[in-house]
Amino acid sequence: MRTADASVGAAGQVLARGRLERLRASRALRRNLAAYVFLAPWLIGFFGLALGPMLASLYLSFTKFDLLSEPRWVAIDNYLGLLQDQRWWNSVHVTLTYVVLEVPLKLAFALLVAILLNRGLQAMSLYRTVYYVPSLLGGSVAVAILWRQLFGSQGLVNELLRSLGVSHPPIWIVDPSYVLYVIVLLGVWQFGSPMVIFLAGLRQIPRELYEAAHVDGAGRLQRFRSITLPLLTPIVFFNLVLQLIHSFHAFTPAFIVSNGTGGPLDRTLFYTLYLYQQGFAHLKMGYASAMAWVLFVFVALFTAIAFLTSRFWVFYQDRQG
Amino acid sequence: MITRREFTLLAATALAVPVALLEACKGTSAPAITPAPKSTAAADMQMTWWGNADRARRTNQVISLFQQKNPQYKISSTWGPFSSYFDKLNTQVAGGSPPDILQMDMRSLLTYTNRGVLLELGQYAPGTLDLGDFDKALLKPVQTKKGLFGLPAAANMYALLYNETLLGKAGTAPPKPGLTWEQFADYCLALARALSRSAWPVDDHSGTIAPFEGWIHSRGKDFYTSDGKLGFSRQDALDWFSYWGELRKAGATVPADISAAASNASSQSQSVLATGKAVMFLTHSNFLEQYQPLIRDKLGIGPYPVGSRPAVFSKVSQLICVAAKTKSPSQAVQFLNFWINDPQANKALSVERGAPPTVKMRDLIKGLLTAEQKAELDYLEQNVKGTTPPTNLAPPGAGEVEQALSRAGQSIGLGGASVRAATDKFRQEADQALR
Repeated sequence: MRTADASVGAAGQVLARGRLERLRASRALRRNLAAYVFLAPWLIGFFGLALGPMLASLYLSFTKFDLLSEPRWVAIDNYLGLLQDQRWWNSVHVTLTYVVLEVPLKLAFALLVAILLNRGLQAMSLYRTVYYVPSLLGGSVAVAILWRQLFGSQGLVNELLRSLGVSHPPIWIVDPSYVLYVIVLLGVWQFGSPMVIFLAGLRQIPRELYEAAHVDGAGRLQRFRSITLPLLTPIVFFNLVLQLIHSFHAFTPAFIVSNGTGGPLDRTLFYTLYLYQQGFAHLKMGYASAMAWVLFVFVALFTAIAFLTSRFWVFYQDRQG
Repeated sequence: MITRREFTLLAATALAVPVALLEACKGTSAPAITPAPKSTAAADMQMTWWGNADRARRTNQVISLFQQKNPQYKISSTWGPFSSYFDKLNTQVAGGSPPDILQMDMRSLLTYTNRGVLLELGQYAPGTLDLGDFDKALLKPVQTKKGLFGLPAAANMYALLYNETLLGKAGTAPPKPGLTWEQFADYCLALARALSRSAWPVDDHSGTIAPFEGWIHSRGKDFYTSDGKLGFSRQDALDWFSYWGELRKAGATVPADISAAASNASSQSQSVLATGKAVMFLTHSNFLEQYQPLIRDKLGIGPYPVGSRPAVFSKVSQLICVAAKTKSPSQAVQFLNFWINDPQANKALSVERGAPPTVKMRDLIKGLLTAEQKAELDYLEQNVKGTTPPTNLAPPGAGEVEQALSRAGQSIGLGGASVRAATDKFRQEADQALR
């Protein structure tokens, strides 16, 4: 009897504690409700437009799916198919070449322009805007079309070369040996957004350091090497990661310059372009999904490598000494 | 000064990793096999096609004529270039909202029929759809065991277009009817010697699917077998690439880079024919009126090279189809009926897509044609005798075969690959696409 009483009492206590906790939880919820409401557009976007489709594409990557009829489960056939697909290997090669060339060139150029702009010129904001414009337009179709005109057989570049006495300049956009570099150049030209970030970073470096170095007799180059560069490494790192990811996903320039074919000779068959062809032109959406996931892993891998190496070369102000 | 904490925050907010993601709705329905009643209830429909501005003007005219006669129907239209047409269509179909009425290519018909995207039209004839006057020879290749899923919008034919002005300057007579592929090659070689430096006898067609299909057809073979495999041998393809290889070596074709740049440009005005770089161009009969306005020189339409049989036949230039998912099937079919049988509609369409698919309408518009249009129609009527259309439709995957051929052609011309290697690669990729 007593044990029963005791257990009832204990149960009552548990219940009471449960009620209390629920009360606390609901109060917490009420307190945070406003936050969730304001977050809702982003949350809906994330779950509905990003995570949902991502998971769906993960499922589809294990199916044969032609967009128009029901997907059919094929396990890892799509992934095995990639390994035997010469055009896929080629697209990996093209994309890696592009990334390896475009990212460092773009960052170097962005840093150079940022340093030039950081010298307190008049009408600075005008210059900043002017230099930023290409990257606003950069992803757009119009600029890629412009590029195609510039480097076409009768384009500005060739007219210039002809006036300089080159009698038979190549048609850059259909020449297998040059076309990729034309697209790299287009990428580098869109240096605006890393440039603006570099500029912000440069502004944060305390003047005193330069003054002290100046007093100690450090030259311009030495100041750059010993002050600017080390203090800027977090920004370099940030830009590197951002541009790496961006560069892996390059699509529009190749699509426009090659008119969607990836030609000549698949030299502009970027990974994403091949993915698009497989999915939307050849209706192999399962295969395309598998490609998307392999790309995801690629990008994650490269980002991880960047993070792992960062401890050896990125200098954080709060970790010094 | 950036701290690690600030950095992480910055990174976390900015690093969205966009993966190419594809969510697609599914669901198709098999066409019903119940007798189809005619409905004249109000309907709001969409129509889409590919082509140039002239085609858009004519097609929109047909739409407004149709709406005048049937004020309860409304058709909104979209159009664009061929190169992106099917990508866009696929997305619309996958999204569950295909256009009600759509232009279709013979090379893609089976792809869409097999997946239940298109409405069976035979169930509306006779009745809503009057096929009484329709050119039976044109309709036959489109009739499948499962039914009729697209109406030929017009008839055209493989044709050789040539630049009369340039031929005149070179002192060469236009090619004579009935010349074989060998004689055509000799003609090109002779012309190469007579031409000035800035023009070449013929475009490099080694990577173009239509002339290759014509080549195979002229050898008495079907391009595709009835079970959707390649209907020609490795030797046929090897001969094709060798044929163009010899012309290329002799300087009788437009150099590969110029040809590639021209076909890469999305506008017809930059094609080698329109820029006067090529004297001759293998294409379709109805393109004469598309190219002529783009160049001052006078263009002519001439004989297509023949093999053991003619390469040409009365060809379905495009189809018009109705989506199986449309909310107004009967109304859409009424539009198709209007398209093929209404005199006003056919006057508006004229022969821009090719000859009207009924004999009655063909005769009706004959007096109303421009010089180029008359030449197109004459060419069609003079060359149709004794020809046989292919019996098998292009299987799904034909689009990939087309691109594999284009790559193979370029790999020889631009990449210096051997004819043998290019042939093998083409066969392998084509077989793969048709598996």
